Amino acid sequence: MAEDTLRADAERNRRLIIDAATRILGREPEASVQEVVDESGVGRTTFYRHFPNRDELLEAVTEEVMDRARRRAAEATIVAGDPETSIRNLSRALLDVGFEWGPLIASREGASEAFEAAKVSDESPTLIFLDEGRERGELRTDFPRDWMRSLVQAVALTAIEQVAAGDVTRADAYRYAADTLISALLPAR
Amino acid sequence: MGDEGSQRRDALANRQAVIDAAAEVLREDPEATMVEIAEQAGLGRSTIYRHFASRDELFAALVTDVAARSIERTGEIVARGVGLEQTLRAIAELSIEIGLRYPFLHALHREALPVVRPLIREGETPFVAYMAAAQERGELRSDQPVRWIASVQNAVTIAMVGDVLSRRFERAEAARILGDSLVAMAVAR
Repeated sequence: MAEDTLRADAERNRRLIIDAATRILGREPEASVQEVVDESGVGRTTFYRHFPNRDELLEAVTEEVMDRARRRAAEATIVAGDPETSIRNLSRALLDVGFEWGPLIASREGASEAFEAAKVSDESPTLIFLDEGRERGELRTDFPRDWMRSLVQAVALTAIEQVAAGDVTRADAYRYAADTLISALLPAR
Repeated sequence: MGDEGSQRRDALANRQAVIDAAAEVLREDPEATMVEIAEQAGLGRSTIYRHFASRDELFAALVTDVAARSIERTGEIVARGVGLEQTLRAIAELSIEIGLRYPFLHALHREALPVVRPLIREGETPFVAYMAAAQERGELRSDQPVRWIASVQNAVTIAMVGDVLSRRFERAEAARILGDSLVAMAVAR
């Protein structure tokens, strides 16, 4: 009984820390751990018991962001029989993830197992969308499906970078990314 | 005056020689240290350090050098004045060739962005100028700015080079798929 309470407390504290860390580091990857400690409302000792160093905290935040990204992408409305609308919805979800957590994701490139795993995960909503679309004949099948995933990632990344650099507005980015992917993924005329 | 000029030319020629020699060594041994590069390239240690204070500086110079070379060779392709599709396919082949020649630089492609992006933004590469002309002629899609199209072509190309380097695709297949992708995303409908 006491053990259950301890475990529940530990879980609750971990959740408080990760939510706070995702809010702060997701927006500003260079923010101090102290800021996160303060925001989490958890005591300093408890905090460091869960996350003894910055690296472990960053990796936990990365996992959390990858999880949220997957959920957002999975919520994108895929319409059987309408690949264009489906692509618009999926690419919008991916761009929104990038707009929200871009700086963090960019800073984790090459430094995070969670990030690398997500890029090639078999459970990604993007992959599921590609597989189903190809099966229904709505998407091209003359490209390897892994390449089609790379295409989606490259186009989304370009959109996010262009917006971050101020070269393109978000509204335009949604449109350009979707239109580009539609031309690249639908069966060749 | 003349003496100063020829001294400067010598220094530049030597710098280029060091860059070329370093590339040779790194192709075989991407982990080579400055000292190892100097030894294996038959350069004196003082020679290499006279031009590059650190390994990071040497790599930065390599990235800039390869970017400049790619821009130049792409310029040769677009100067042939053949149709958009043929041009893009030739550029796809070239990009993979260059990517395979400098595998040790691929991980640093993000470092090239600050060099390349302003050139794209100002329309100052032969490729962007060519794309602008192709858009005027009605060959290139007109629903997106040239700057966006060029950026996405660049990003997708880099993604394919990465996939080839991690052996996900064979070179010949990669060139075909990349060519098809670039054409699909570019042609006017």
